[in-house]
Amino acid sequence: MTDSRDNVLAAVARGVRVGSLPPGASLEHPGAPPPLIRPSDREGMIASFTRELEKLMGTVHRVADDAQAQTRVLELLDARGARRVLAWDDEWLRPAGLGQVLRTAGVVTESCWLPQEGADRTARLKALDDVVVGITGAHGALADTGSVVVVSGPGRGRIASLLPPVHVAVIGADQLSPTLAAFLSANPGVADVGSNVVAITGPSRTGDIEGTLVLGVHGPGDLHVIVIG
Amino acid sequence: MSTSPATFYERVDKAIGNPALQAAVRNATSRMSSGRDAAIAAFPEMDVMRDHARAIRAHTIARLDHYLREFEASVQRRGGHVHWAATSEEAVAIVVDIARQHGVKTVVKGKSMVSEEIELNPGLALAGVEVLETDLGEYIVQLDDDHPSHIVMPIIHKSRHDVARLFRAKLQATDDEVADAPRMAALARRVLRKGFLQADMGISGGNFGVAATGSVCITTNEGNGRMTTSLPRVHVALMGIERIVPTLDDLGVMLQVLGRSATGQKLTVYSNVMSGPRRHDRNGGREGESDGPEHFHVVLVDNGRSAIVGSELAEILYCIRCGACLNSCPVYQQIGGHAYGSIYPGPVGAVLMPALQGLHTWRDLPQASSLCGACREVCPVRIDIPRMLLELRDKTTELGLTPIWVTFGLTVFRQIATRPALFRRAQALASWATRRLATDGWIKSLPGHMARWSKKRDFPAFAPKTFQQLWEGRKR
Repeated sequence: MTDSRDNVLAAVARGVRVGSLPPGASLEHPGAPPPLIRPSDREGMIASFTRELEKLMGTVHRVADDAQAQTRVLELLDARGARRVLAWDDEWLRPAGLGQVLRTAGVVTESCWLPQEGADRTARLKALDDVVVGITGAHGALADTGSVVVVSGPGRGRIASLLPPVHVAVIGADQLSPTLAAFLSANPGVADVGSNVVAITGPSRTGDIEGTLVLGVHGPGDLHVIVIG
Repeated sequence: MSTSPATFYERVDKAIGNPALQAAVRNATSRMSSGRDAAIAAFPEMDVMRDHARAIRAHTIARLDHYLREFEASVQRRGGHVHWAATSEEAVAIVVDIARQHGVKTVVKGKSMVSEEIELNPGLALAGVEVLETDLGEYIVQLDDDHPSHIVMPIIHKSRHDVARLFRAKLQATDDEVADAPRMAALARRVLRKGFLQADMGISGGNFGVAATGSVCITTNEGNGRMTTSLPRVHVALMGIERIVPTLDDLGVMLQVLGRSATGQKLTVYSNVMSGPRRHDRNGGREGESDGPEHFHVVLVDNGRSAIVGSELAEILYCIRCGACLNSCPVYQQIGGHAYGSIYPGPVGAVLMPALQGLHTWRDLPQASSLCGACREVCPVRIDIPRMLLELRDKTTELGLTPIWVTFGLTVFRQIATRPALFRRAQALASWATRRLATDGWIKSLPGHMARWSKKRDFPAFAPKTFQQLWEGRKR
């Protein structure tokens, strides 16, 4: 369909060249987005992040230090009787050593690694189907919207924040950005970091049937963010 | 296309004769409108953000050829493939080819209006590929062999009882499994999850393509979009050629106005940015990314869009498909999406369908508006839909597509209105006649041939005295 490529591009170029400029259009890029004035101090951002995520029925746990974070993760697993978790590799988890703490407590930590080949891949996914909790870190978090920004990579599988019905993300308070715009301007190369960047804003939801809110349709319906510091 | 456009008025009759449908559509649209209004009231910067979003879309369309080339190069740099489809047939053929090339038997699919536009599912079925829609609403549409009636909320025309009946019939669901919306969603989740785990290929739409980074962004609330694009080894994204934004910063702006305008959310739950396939290390070993699709294909669909670039309708290409104009439209609220008979209903559809496929097929849609301007008020990128509806109505007349009785009526009116004495006498006659026909000041039905006209509207009787008579009386 090489012809189609050239034909489509030629047709577009013709429209752009001979047509009048579309209403409101400038040939110059409009530039940086208008600034949003939002709290940018640590306490202000944590307060906003907590308020926004809880409005969406997510849960925020603020803990003072790494030891408390580890305890809180174990409590969340115990409350759900979870003995297996789908987790990012140890080096990407916060606090450092969380994976080891879980294994010491008798929890099996499954890796996110998926085989390339179809049948093996399906077999691996089926084996992970009944894992109840996924544990990840995050690349950042957005105070204004209550979002965690999760970026895929080696040892940082997409499926940990997707496949299990419960997602626990452990982040540091220093990872908060005031807004999406602030995060993007501080991380201009974020698309180079991983093939998948996702801003997760609350648990999975639908209103398709008569507008009735249902949580946990396909993604995790139970979202916990543990904020250290 | 779903239904013959020749029967637009019959479809409207059917819709307004169905009180259950009207109640469902009114509930849904008023719920979505109030959600939008609340989100915008809580966002003081919405107006400047909308101006900026409009400037981004306008600039992109003004340089669309440039940004399309940049997007293509960026996707290829990341190891993805870009395919160009001039027509819907080509688009379907491309997707079928990709499926064959990768030995695909089963496909899971996220919500994509372009896939409806090109009628992808029947094409894949013909090629022996099994397709499973995974958005809850779209899954229900597929099970019922129906069509979406709204571009964001596909099944607002169905009640929970309709869905329960469908699940009982098609999924052999028990009474308990269909007792309420959460249980029906849970049942669908179980069925669709099996599909996700074993599908060979995922097909998604594309809310935006980012030229600078070669990324495709899709926004979903359920997470089916992430499943579709993460689990299967092949991912195909379908996008109209106009869905490009220059940079990630621009994408951030669009996402903020999209979520608020569509569903009243600050951001959709999953704002999912995909830049190429899974990134392997040199040996395909464990140093590379843990998961993600091995193959990443983007299909850029023209299908009439390039002809709109540079035309007086180019503004419709700014649209980001939030659905706010549908929710706010008094006509859509009355007749729902199916009555339009088009893939894209409501105010945006009334411009887009004739723009994409010509007025001969879609001449009735630009008439399905009161020109009240509500669509322009709510549009996150401030598209002047009423202006374009008028352009299209003008063109309808130029092409001689206006119904004969309208042309005749206007000619008679012009003859009378340009002769003051005759106009005064006509007023007196109209006042006398309309008051005789009215009950409590309103004409609800007219005799003979006029019955068809009055069936859809109530018309107030003329006042006993004209404005000129009142003015004369006042002066004395």
